[in-house]
Amino acid sequence: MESRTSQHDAAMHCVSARMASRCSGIGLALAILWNAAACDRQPGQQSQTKSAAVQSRAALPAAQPPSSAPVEADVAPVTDLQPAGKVINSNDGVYAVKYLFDPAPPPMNEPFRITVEIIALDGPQPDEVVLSVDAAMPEHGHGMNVEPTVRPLPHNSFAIDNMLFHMAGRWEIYFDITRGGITSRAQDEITLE
Amino acid sequence: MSMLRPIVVCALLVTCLAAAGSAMWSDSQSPSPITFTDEEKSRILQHSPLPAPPHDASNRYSSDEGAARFGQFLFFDTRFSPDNAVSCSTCHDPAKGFSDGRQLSKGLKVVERHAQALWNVAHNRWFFWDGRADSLWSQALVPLERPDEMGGDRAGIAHAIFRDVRLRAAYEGIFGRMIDVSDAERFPAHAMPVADAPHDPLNVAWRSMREEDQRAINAIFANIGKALAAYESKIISRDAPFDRFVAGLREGDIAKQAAISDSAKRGLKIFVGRGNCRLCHSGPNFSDGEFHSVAPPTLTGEEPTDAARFAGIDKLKTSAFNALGAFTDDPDGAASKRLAALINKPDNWGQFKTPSLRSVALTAPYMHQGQYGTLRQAIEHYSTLADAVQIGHHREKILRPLNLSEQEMQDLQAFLESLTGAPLPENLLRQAPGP
Repeated sequence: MESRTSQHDAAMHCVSARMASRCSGIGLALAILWNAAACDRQPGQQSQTKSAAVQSRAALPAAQPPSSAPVEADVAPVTDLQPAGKVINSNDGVYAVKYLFDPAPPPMNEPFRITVEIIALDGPQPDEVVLSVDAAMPEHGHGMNVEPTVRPLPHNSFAIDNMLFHMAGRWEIYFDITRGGITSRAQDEITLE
Repeated sequence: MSMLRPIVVCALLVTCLAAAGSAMWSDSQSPSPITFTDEEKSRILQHSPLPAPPHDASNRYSSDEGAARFGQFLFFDTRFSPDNAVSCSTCHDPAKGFSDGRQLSKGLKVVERHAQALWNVAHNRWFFWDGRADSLWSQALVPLERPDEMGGDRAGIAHAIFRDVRLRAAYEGIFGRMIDVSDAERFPAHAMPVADAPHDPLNVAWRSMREEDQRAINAIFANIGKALAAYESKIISRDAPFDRFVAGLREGDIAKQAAISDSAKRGLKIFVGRGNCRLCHSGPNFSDGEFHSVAPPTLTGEEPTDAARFAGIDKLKTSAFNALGAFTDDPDGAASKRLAALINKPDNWGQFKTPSLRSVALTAPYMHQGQYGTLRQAIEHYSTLADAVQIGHHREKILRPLNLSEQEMQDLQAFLESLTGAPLPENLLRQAPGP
């Protein structure tokens, strides 16, 4: 399985969930889960991610989710065998999106989950974010046959269930983040063999 | 073989294979000159062995031997058809690969599509060409009541089982005591819902029943489907020459690798390589279980009018026997979540389910209307797309002519013929001696 970023701007989003959060920054649990690799937004890094958009991302170390992590019992534990989660920035550089497949890598033609955390790269964490997630195969001209469900978790995080890539090939994944009527898109791609 | 997925992306593949000897997977002691790259080998291994069918939690009787025997008896029983002429096996004849050899199948009347073969049917996620059922047991119910297939009705079937001492005993041995349906006032001799014909006598009779009695009849009907599904789950195609070849590939056993011909191996290279057949015909059952438009012509030569998956989703969502209905044995299970997440969209118009390729050589003709009488004709479609129709809706964008040579077409056919599984036990090919 390869994974690459891309700058496509396909317009698809089909799921959304509203999450109200306290402006308290990154939650401890998810900070542990993701080891806060990109959460520690140093000024230099911030500038880099803003300018480099999706090209700027960091591999997230694998970690066992703590018992207090806002994940359900049916979430498979992250193990050292799994590729680490990823951090990508929205195309406009407003947000970092940290996401983790469960299981990882995503299985072919079987449901999987994505856990997502949204981080504002400049200024305080948002009060309220609407997240939409979708995926498509640009070369095939179609997307998924299912509508993922987006469930808010604490600390600007979400669990995306019912994701299903039913074919081998290149999939683009779209994270559309809306706050105050303005939508930013972060996107990544993955090739299933 | 309706979904071989052509794409012209890898013209250099064969050249690379010839040139990159050290990078290829091969065995110097192999008697065969055909070798596979690591990438090809990785892809090939995805197709074998075929595991056991996934457990259907919506049918608690899916692995029940008594239910399977009962289902096997009913599968061949014509008594649920008004003229005692049609059974499930009419269109799913074991002697014809559990299909019927016809382009358009014929029950009481000729229907609009070709009967799908039942090989490995329990591996499916959705059922019918258009996915209008989401479990094997709910699929089995539809032909029983379709006027042009078996023409029965759920109340009549309940009465038939209740009246027949052996059927009733078998039913009660599996599902528990059967409700007494002998009161003709409560339980009309024939009744079923007919959504698009409210004045149909069957629908009128159904509407005359109390809701609790309708539910009792529906429960019996669902159980019949579950018994049929328990039998159909045994219709398995595995242990094909291809499986022995893959075992040899996995184990480095040269003798096993000789299970398929060199021609079949070359065809396999096309299948997992530039043909990109594997994109839709994926996994050990050679199907992604989903829906695609590959633009075969209609039998009449006219523009396609079959909405297929687009209509199938609507039928599925409104079925009383779907995974969100009252008769599933796993109301909060994976199937219900899958159905809840299912979306319909215009792109689904004209898309048909990817059939399995296991034992495909036994199940001619091919495509949803049996448009192609032979594997060769189906391969030629993907080679040239000369007969492809534009349906005005979404079509797989990667569908492009493969431009196969004569030798390549023969090789691909040889590979497909290597997927014919070991015969089923004789006792599964005919009506069970008793219910």
